[in-house]
Amino acid sequence: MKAKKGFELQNVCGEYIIVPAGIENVDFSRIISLNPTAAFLWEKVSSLEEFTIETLVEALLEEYEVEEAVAREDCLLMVERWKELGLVEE
Amino acid sequence: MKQQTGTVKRVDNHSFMQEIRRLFNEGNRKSVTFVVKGVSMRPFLESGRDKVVLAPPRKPAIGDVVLAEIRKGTYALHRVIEIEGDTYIMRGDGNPLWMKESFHEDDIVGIADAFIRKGKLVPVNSRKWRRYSSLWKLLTPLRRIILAIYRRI
Repeated sequence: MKAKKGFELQNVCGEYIIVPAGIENVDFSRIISLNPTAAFLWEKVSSLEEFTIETLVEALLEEYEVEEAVAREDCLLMVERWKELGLVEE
Repeated sequence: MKQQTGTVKRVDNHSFMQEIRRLFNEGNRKSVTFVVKGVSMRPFLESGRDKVVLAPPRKPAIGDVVLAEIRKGTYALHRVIEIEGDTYIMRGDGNPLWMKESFHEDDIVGIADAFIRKGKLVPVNSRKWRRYSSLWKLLTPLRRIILAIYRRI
């Protein structure tokens, strides 16, 4: 899968949010916010051409003290959400 | 790691205003939309329900609804009612008549382009907004009574 282009990750008042680049209106009343871990992973994959669940799991294991099985489960859930939100595509 | 959906995040007012300024300064954003808080623009805007679509700072005219820093760290979204040289005087529709705030051009965070009231877009150049504005001005003598009634319903 790949991260869709045209989304900017920004840190606004300590919250990580994703705003569409190039759109002239920023609507703070409907915004996608990511927690720091998700933001870290988004940063990782948004610069890649393609990525898999393994890419995310590896990145997570490198950065955080977490069991691989737990990391994988979390990544799967997160990617599902990202797909729903239209942030990634197959 | 789950993302929250449909939740409301509250951010510190001052840093949010700084953020809006930064977005406008970058130059490629023409408007910023957010939910209003406070009762000063009643009866048109209700805190937590309605939104304002804010355009970047420019020279305001009488009748413009401006978001400005009125004292260090204190911001208000009010209607400009007087201009005296480089000082602008504004007052919230829902505030008492004596409650005026002044600001200068540098204090402007943005100027309302439109409102989203009960989910409906109301641009400031729309008939609806203009009609409401002149009606509210006309009703100035009755303002206290209307607002008092409004608070009870």
